[in-house]
Amino acid sequence: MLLWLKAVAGKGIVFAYSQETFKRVLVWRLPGRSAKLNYAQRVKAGIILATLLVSLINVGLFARKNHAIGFVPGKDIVSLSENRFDGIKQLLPGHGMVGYVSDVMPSVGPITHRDEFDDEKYEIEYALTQYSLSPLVVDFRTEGHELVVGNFMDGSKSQEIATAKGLVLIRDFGNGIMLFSRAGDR
Amino acid sequence: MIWVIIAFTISIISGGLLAEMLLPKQVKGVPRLLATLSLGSGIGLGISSISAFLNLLLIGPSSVNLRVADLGLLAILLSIYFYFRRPYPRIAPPKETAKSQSFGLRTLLTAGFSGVVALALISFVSLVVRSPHGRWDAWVLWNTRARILFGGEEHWRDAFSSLFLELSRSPDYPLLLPLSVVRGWKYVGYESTFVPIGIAFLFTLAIVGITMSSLWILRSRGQAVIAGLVLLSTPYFLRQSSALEADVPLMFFFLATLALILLFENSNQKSLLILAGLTAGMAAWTKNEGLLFAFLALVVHMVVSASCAGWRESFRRASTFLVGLIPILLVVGYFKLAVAPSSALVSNQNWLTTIGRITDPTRYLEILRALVSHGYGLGDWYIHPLLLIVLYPICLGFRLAKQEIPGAITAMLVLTLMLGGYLLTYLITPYVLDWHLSTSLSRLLLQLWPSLILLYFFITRTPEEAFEWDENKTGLRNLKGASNYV
Repeated sequence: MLLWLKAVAGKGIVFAYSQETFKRVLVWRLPGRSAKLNYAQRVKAGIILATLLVSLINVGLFARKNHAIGFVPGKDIVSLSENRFDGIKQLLPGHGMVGYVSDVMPSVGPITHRDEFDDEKYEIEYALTQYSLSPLVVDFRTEGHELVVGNFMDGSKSQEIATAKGLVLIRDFGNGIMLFSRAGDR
Repeated sequence: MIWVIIAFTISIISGGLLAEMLLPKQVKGVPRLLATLSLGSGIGLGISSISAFLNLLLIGPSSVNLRVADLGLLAILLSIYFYFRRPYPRIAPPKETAKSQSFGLRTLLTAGFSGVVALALISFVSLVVRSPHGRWDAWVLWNTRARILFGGEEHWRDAFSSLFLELSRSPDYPLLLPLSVVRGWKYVGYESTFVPIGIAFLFTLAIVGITMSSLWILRSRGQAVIAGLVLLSTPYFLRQSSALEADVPLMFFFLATLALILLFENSNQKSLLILAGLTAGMAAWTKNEGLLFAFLALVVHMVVSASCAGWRESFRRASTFLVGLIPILLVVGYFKLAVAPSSALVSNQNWLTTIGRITDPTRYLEILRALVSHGYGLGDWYIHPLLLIVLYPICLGFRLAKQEIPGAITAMLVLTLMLGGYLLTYLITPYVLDWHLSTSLSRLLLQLWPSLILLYFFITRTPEEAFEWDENKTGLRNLKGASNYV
């Protein structure tokens, strides 16, 4: 601490001025040559420190965050979701709007405000559906739509939910993806 | 893939020609090339997205028309460039200080910088391999909208459906990023993930490029490399660069505007203010925060200029800035008024609740607490650069010549007021404050981070200066001759 204060006080970046060897290492000087640090050398030492520091930060970031080695491309959540919707996309129109039904629904009403919408799972599933089916716009309601896309985590609940909402199954694409129409429209 | 490269190349050349025409001729060599390429990438992509928007509005969604418009714009810029091209003035090469070379400082810094660039590149590639569609906002907001604009053909206005209000809460965000993506897809012919990844990569490179080139021009090569090192080793900057969101383009336009203002204050070359106005306008065309930035950059620069050079000169500078800014603002204004729905952040406000929020002391405390934690964290630092930032001036000291003070004050004030604007938005937000802070504050702080680095290294002494000062014991000296800028 005392040595650190000396450095801050402008008396040189001499962390251990009594330790000749350490000082030589710090300024990369050969034995036998004067190890006295002038201002420019202190600057150089500072720059070395800075370079090492930022390199370490990056190496740390790389080591901790990037595990792409062994990672199979296309296995991220969005790509997997797109694969789920591949089949149904063939049957849907190129543009316009479709309804949406799922066994993961928001716990509280419309989602205009975050405080009224805290069901993260629903939000993720709905967003993945919208992204996968774009340019089609996916309405989170079933009312008023001739075609309704079903996205079920648990397929066994689909029939019960569809009946309750007056929907008739057109086709089951597997993986919990289904296409419905309104009962009255068939 | 080749079409992605062609699409980007046309943009970069268009923007580069504009930057090349407006940069002072005295800026030469590598820093000029770096500045031209960096500014060219950002401005070029911005201009291309505006061209794509006008094309969509006036002609329709045809990709042939888009290519014709791109090539037409390129041809016009090339004609103007060659018509007005003047030879570079003959200036003796900058005199390098013998001391700085003898210390091998450059070799050391270049080696360190190369290592950090390599690691940053590996990190970027790894992150986009893991998440080729980017992070939440990238696919929920930006690329969903891009897909509708691209695939919706005549129904492209579906991208502004009120449903996006439910999902993204930002249906009125401008179109620089989505239309840049759409433009790339129109060239390729399908929704390739390479396009948003390429855009993010270009903007990331351009941020590093503009930071380094402006410091190289204004200060020294050593200073430029150190600033580049600090920027590239910001973990959250690297993570965000691969997020494919609009924050990276936005931070580029913030940074470019302030860098151009600093360059203007040093050269008094008014063409730089046109470029600064253009980049400020592009910020407004990228995200709503950019509107605040463009307004602040204009007003603050005007006030600071008035205090230094008088109101007459201040108005002259402001009008030059507006030459670049107004065309973009007209496009943004049309988009906001005629195309986009209003933002939930604005439409869900009323005076009574807003006053209630402003007078609630707990909100201030919560914002302050978040500011400290997010500001300190800024994305899981391994070794916090605060240490480096404290050490650097202890080693080298601060330095600011008299004529550089207005530029530094302008940049400082704009950044401070931007932060104030962000905090005020949190104060009156209709969303749950905790959620709003946790999902966006780090990104907002990061938007200002490259500009802060630029300002910081602009006011600290360079290694080259420090060595020379140390040798001559003559105190601080203006070492403009040591850079390529005369």
